[in-house]
Amino acid sequence: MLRDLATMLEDLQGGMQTLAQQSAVRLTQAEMTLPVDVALVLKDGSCALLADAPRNAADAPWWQAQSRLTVSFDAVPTEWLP
Amino acid sequence: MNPALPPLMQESGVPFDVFITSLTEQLDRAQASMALKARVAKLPLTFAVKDVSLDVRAFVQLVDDDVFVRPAGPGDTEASTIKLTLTTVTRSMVEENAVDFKSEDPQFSLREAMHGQLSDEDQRRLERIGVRTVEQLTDLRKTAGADVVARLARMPVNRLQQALLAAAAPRVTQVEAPAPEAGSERGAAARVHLRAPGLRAGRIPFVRAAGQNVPVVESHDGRMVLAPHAGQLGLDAEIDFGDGEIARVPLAQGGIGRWASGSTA
Repeated sequence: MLRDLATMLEDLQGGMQTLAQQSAVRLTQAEMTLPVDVALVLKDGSCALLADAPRNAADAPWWQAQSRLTVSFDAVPTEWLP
Repeated sequence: MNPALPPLMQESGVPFDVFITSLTEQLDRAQASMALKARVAKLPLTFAVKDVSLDVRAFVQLVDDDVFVRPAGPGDTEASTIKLTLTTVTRSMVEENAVDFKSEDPQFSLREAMHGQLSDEDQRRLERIGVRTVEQLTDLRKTAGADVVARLARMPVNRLQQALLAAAAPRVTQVEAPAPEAGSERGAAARVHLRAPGLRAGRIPFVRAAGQNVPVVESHDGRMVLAPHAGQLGLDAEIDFGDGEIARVPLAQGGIGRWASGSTA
């Protein structure tokens, strides 16, 4: 079951937030390139993009080549956010 | 693909702009959610998405002159790769580039101007190409023409023509009704300000209400000022722009006009 792309991004960001609070070393930037499964569904009167990391390694042979998501996060003051 | 999807979407996917919109909606939702969590937790620093790059394996095809995209599924071979790169905007960039919605009077929303004839779907189609107000629709009519707008908004031309016609009808923006002068039964004349996109350069429209002429004080740049008598205020005025273009509008605050049947505006 694929999840919304937004949910996956929130999960990734949440992981970094936890790491930043626990570690003595400050994390300022992170970039990750991930294989993703992409699908479109009709939801709430519009088209929603589902994109999630594969659930397990066994999924890989199904795909000739995975779609890839590259996302970079920056540590910024909260007040800068729109 | 999801078997619950309509057959066209299963076979061809969705128009490219819908695909891009669905992607940006997800990113906006993620950013908004992250910002909310940081504020609720009172975190001085948080992580925000700076850049996103998505290489989507997908099938691309033309359907009725539109580019459709369908993400590849398991077992699909020979799909194309679409590389999309997006970056975020800062608060200052948003403020510099945002449309000032406050300057548009909400009573002249598209829905109001269309007298409820605009369906939710048509309104969404117009919003997708950036048209949210009557003024924007009127401006677009001048610069692009109905055929181009209909193609971009994916609306039938006849429905768009109806929308453009309704948007070009005159509407009252302000009514100045001064208090009666002391010692006099008759006060100074009222002033009724109208926006009239159908106004023609160099031609003063002929206005009548309650069987009498209504003096036109100003008439230029799509705006008119009338000086109706007290007895004409609140009644329907008939505005003849010439060449058979006749509209009726109530001389009251927020009054929205309608074209008389047979008008060719």
